[in-house]
Amino acid sequence: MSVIKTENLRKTYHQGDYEIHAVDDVSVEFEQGEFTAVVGPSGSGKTTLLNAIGGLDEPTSGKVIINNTDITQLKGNQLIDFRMNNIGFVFQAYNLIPVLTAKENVGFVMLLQGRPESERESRVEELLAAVGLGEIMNKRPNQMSGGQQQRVAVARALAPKPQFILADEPTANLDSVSTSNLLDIMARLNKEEGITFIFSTHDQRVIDRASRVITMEDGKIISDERKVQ
Amino acid sequence: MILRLARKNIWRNRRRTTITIMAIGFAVMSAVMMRSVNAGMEEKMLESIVKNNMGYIQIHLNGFWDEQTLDNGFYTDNEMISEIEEIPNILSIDKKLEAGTLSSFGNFTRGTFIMSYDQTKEIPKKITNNIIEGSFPESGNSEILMGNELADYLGVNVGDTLVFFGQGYQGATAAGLYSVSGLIDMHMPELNRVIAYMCMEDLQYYLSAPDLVTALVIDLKDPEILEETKNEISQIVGEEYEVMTWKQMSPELEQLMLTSQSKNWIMHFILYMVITFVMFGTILMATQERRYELGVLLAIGMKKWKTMLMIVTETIIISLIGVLVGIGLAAPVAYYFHYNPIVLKGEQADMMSDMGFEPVIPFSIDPGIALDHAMIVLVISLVLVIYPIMIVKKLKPVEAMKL
Ligand SMILES: Nc1ncnc2c1ncn2[C@@H]1O[C@H](COP(=O)(O)OP(=O)(O)O)[C@@H](O)[C@H]1O
Ligand SMILES: [Mg+2]
Repeated sequence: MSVIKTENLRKTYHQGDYEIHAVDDVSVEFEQGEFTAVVGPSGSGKTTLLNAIGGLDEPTSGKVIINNTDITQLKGNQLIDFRMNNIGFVFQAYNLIPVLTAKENVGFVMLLQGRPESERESRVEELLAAVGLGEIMNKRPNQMSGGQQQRVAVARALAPKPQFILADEPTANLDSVSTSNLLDIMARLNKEEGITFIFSTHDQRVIDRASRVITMEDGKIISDERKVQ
Repeated sequence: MILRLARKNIWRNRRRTTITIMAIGFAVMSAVMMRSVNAGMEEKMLESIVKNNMGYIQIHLNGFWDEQTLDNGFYTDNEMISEIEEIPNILSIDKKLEAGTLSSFGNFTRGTFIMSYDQTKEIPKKITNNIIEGSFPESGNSEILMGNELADYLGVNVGDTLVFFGQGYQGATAAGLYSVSGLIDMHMPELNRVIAYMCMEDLQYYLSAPDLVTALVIDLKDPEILEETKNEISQIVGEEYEVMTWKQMSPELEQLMLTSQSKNWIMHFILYMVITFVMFGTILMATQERRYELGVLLAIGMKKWKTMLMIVTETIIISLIGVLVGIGLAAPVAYYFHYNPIVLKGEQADMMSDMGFEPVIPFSIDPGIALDHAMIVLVISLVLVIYPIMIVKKLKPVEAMKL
């Protein structure tokens, strides 16, 4: 059964006189527990697709159906709540809140959800330990390396127990050690907790670890391969 | 939660917080200082004219103000005075007696306006500071102070004795010999040509009117409570007397104050325009710097209204701190210059002396000034916070987070 489904998804930008079809009539489904890499050259529409799936950006036309809800129909606060409760995001630029410590960043979404402090505390510590950052819980983003920040971002994305995580080029700014470190963590979470990952990447080493590889070009999906494990 | 996040934003972004606090603090400080100088000037205008010449309120016999003659004077009633003294806002009550007479020396005779001073009380600085030759009269010695131009006209020098003659109270003849102990320059030529000062008892004796006064001059603790105090006095003294405020007695002075105040308002308006731009610049900068961060907040699930509330909370906290800093900076300066007024020199000083003011600028330390301007700056910052709120309203996380 598919957890995420797009139907004829389209996002068109107008640049002066001509149109850019950043995402061009994409219909694709993702299954529970998949570990999918979206690849393709720069400008092929990976970011636009992930943002549309995550409800961060409004598509020009088409549907995004998550657990039988068409999120393109959700408005304002409804969409924000849906996003918060169902989708975790990891961005290329880490996107942590600079004034908060690792611990506070991870706990923040749960705070927004109004979870009690005891639950927050234990989950945050568990998650930071899981991404190997138990030691630096009280550091702020500018006191951490890129790899550490990105691991905090993953922990944050996981905190509200979302069904799936969207990660837009999560390793683009990381060195190879941090990259494989992060992928280990993501793969383990995928395997052990059944979390669905969709991530975009350029990086062959990242592509190699994926169970499914979707290739995009000019806003279209040109190939979609499932690896047999 | 919002408060906690706001506090963290403020505390952990020390550079930005410091800049904003400095901007607001500077704004409050300049506004308070400026108002403090102006208010100081106004207070001094009031003080030097009102206090030394006529008090904030005067009591006369009905009709005296329109026809200022000795026959419209009255005998003081100690019971009435002590009753008035019980009004909380009364600082002091002074008796005042003024009369026209003729002074004669050698072949010259001239109309003279004799004013009393109360020898039992401290003599106003206005008089002692303006003595240009000789000394202050010893009371009970038939000595007088004389306007310098009047003395010139009569050919009188310090130490000379001249004759006063004229009409005393209710048709009595008044005459006497008085020696000039000193000359006075009131910086007002019209006054210098006619004025002489004599102590109260001597003058009453000269006019054959022991205990007679033409006015009771009243000083107030708080000059702002003018009309109320006047009404209280009116009730005590009854129909027989007229009670007049300085505004009624000297509409020109009130006009001068109002003009000064309206000029100051224009200056303040300009200052506040500048302040508003400085503060807006700071807020603009801070908001641009935070677009990214705000985008993240929205992306991970913070609702827009909460984000706005967070910004408003931050702004209020920072503004309050800024206001306190501004007052903290302005207060010592204002205090210093209140007790060590700036002394003017040259033309400006002469101009002020000519108008009868001491050429110094004391700062006001009225705490109301700080409060007013703190409120204004707070209101400005609350208006300016609309800008970041609009930004949040329109913010699309995807765009805000683009690098
Ligand atoms: N806000 C935008 N305005 C105009 N064009 C855009 C905007 N965002 C993306 N694009 C265009 O859409 C296309 C796809 O962009 P993107 O999804 O970022 O690609 P990728 O993530 O694969 O590099 C590119 O041609 C890009 O220039
Ligand atoms: Mg991209």
